[in-house]
Amino acid sequence: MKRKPAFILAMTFGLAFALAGCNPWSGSTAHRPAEQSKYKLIMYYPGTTPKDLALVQDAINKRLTEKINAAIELKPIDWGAYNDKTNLMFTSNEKFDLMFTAAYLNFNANVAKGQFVQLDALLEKYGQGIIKTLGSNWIAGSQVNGHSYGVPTLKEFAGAAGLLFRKDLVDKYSIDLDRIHELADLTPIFRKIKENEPDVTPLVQSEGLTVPGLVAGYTMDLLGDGLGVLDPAAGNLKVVNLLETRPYTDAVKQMRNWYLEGFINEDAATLKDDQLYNIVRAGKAFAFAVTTKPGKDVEMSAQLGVELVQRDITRPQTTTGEATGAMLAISRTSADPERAMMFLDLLYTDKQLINLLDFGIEGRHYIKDSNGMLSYPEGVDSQNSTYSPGTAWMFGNQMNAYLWRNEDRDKWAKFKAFNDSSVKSPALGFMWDPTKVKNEVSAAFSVQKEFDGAIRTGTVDPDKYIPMYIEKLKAAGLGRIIAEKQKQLDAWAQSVRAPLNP
Amino acid sequence: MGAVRPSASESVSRRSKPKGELRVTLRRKVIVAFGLLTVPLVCFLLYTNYYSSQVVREQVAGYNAGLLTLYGDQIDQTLETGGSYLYRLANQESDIRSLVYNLGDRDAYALTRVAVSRGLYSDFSYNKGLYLDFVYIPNNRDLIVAQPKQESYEEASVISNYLRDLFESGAGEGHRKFESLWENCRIGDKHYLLRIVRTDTNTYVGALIRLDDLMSPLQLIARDRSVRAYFLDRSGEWLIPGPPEDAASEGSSAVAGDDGQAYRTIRGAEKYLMVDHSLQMSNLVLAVLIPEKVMLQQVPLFQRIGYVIPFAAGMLLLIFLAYLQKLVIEPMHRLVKGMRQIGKGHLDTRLVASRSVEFALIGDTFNRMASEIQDLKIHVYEEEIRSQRAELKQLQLQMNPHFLFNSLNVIYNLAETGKVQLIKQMARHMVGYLRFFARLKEHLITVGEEMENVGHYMNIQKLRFPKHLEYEWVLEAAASKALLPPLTVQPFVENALKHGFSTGREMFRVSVKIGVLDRGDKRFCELIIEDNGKGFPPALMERLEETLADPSFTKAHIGIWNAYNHLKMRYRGEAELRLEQAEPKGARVVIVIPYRTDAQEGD
Repeated sequence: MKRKPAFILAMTFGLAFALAGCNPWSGSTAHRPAEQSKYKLIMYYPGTTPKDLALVQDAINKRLTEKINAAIELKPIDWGAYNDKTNLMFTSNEKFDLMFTAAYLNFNANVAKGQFVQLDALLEKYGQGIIKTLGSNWIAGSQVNGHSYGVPTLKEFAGAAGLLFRKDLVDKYSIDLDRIHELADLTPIFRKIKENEPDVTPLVQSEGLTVPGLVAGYTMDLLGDGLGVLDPAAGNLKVVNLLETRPYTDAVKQMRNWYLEGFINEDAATLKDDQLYNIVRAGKAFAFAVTTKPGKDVEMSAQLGVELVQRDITRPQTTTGEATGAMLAISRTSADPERAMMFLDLLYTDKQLINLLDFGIEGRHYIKDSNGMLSYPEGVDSQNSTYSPGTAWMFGNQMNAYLWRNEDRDKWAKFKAFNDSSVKSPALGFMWDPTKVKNEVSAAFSVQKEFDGAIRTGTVDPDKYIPMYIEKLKAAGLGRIIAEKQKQLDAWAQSVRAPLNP
Repeated sequence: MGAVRPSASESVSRRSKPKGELRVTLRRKVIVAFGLLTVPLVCFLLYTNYYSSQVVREQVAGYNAGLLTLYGDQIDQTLETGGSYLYRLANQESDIRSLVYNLGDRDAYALTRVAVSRGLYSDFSYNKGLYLDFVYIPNNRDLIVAQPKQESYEEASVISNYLRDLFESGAGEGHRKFESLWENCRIGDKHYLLRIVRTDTNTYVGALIRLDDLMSPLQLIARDRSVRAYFLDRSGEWLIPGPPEDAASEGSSAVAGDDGQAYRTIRGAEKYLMVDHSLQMSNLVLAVLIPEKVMLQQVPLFQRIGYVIPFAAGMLLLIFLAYLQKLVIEPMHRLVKGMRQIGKGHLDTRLVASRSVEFALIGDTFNRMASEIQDLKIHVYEEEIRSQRAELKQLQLQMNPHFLFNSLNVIYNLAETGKVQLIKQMARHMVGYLRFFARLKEHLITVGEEMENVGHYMNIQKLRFPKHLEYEWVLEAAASKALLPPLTVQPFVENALKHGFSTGREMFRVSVKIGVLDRGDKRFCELIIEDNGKGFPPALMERLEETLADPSFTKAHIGIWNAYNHLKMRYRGEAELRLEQAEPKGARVVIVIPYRTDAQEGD
């Protein structure tokens, strides 16, 4: 009986507050602007799901809440399913904000279909950190028709053709790799190996990893598919047939000679890249060709379990392909593209955030020594680590990422020098759209498959088969492809060069 | 020898035997009844248990057989697809056919080779089951291998060496057995299925399927259900994942001697259920081993209860018996014991009140009856004693008048002959004797007093028959104070004279010996009356009790009957009366009575 008045009083107050539409306990949020209410970003990228993803995500979110009042949900998709799944997501208008993309992951097609938000204005407003970090060169390199649709990861923006050699044999025969300047310099070295190491193939090539392929790829701008290329050395924007360029024909002839001398494995034309790596692992190979960058030998030594040394045989080159090798784009389905851009900006400026995303939580997934170099905690290795996604090269500013103890301490300086020293293709930023000559391109691809492997590995006589190859390409419509490419290149040059060189 | 004492204890012990049997029988009957109830029940439960595990076994076997058939058919499907793919390659793939036509031109051959290899690789996308394809051209011994997922260089070279061997070593006929079915082969340490098809251009196409790949989905399923899956070949050899440690030989012989059973039980370290399925498209047998333990996990409660049931029944029986013991048998036992006590004459025995109503009633009734019997018996005794005492008085008072006449006659004759001395003697003994009778009102007198009276009597008789009678007596000093009913000895002496005495040439001798006898912790007084007369008739000695009950005998021998009954009444079985034959002739009467003196005779 006594408590009744108090109860009625409470009721009255409650009603009063409710009527007034103001809740006395939630006043604190009223200060913040409406557009700053907490937002959850969703990011898709190719890769496996590490065990501790949720843990790392929580740590990232703590940081993000602090910085931009946002959270993120990381959604890795297996490499094999990435293209299909992202296409499906666009088709079904799934809400998400960010996705990893690259030239080889349908970047062009998605831009053409309008799946990505055009970033120019957003970059200007929220992405100053990105612009400062990357520099206008690389941003331009990733643009499509002068507009940004993806933010390239700051990593190596160039590639070179090179060879990796077994270090033990290099040491054994006191081979001075620095004296190798052109392919012919390798001939005596291979001969020595051939004579003294009967179990070892001097140069192992496969369908994909051939010296001519790489040399051509990093002396020419392949303009996407290699059907019609640009010779930067020529100093003009003329699209030519790769098979008729000197670097290619010279390299192929060299291969033929080596093949006939028995320096190259006989099954090279049908060997797959993974099978080549297996041969290297088994210690049956002396040298093989790869795309190089600084520290490639260290990386491959660790991967293959064989000590390797590296020698580049071309200068580094930058084409649109390199510039668009790893990008993050904002989906047209994003509900808050501004916040997504703020997050991207943090990836380039916030060292703590990028290292969380790349390597996980300090103490749990890695430990840092006094030099700031990383290693695994006691009892952890790359196999059993609960957060070792290997996706560092996909995100933001790689030069902000910590280095592992087995890595070169000057890796990032070397990367920068590598990037700066590279030959920039005159067509850097040009993106080839093959839709108009689809049928010709696919016919030409079949011809390529028929001949490329056999010719590049030296398995067949180039003098006889290159003309035949050219003949077949022409029959498939190479002429029309080159003409279309030339047309697009000229148009691009018009649109880009004009504002750049007023 | 006839014993005077009534043997009540003996009669009780004789009756106790069937009672003991009854008790055991009661318990035994309960056990049997309980057994009759529970044994069929237990048997039924055990049988249900066995039956249900058999049902589970059949169900599990059926389920797994279904799984194997389903999965085996899937494998067969894969193998069939693979087989028809090889046939298509062999018959329709133009690149493979043209290999032979380009043998002369190295470069053209190399290009064809590339095309063939590319074709094989691209076909893997719809031949997911295949591990490796190859084309072999015998003409130039060329082997084109397409293997999208190569494990290592060593693996690849081991496989290509094996394949080359099939075609090249010996007669080059090693590949024949792989041309009709998918046959298993072992390359390196791995098991594969190999199939080879010959083309019409005399080349060969073939494919390898890894058994591990075929098995891995099944093994995932198997691991989930804690069973183990195996591949064997038709001859019973274990292929993957190797023979089971404990049941290898039994399992393989089970597969080899396929008897069409749905499942078999195999004994290794533990019991397994083995179910197998033979593949159509290959010589393989797919088998699963299901540990009995795992299988019967579905009926664990049943099983455990099944083991416990007999024990539970036993326990129940014990509890039941204990309860019964407390409830029925113990009160029963008490009752029986009480009855036995009553039977022994301990009429003051009473039962402790029982808790159950029925036994309480029985106990009360028993107690009441016992006390009634006791009262009755006491009354009867008292009545008997009263009447006997009256009778005795009468008897004692009835002195034989002939004796008096005879004695007076003797005195007369002595007076005739003037033997004053003898008359005086006679008169004195007569006075003593008559005085004894005159004051015969006490119940008990001392042995000395009794003997004095016997002395008077015998001296009177000796005066009557001076040359024919002799009397001697021995009285231990300790015995003379002992108490006994009056006229205990005298009737027997009188009896001896009456029946044993004849005035012949021989002197008739009567002797009385009285002594103290120690038997264990009790003292007795022993009275022996002996003569050298004719002795007892044998019939009398044997059936003393019966004879004494006979009224005709009693009339003639009232003194003995009197003495006997007196002893019996007074001492209640503690006294003893024996008639014996004396040596060399004559009669002997032995009377044993408890030794009591005046001080002891309180009651």
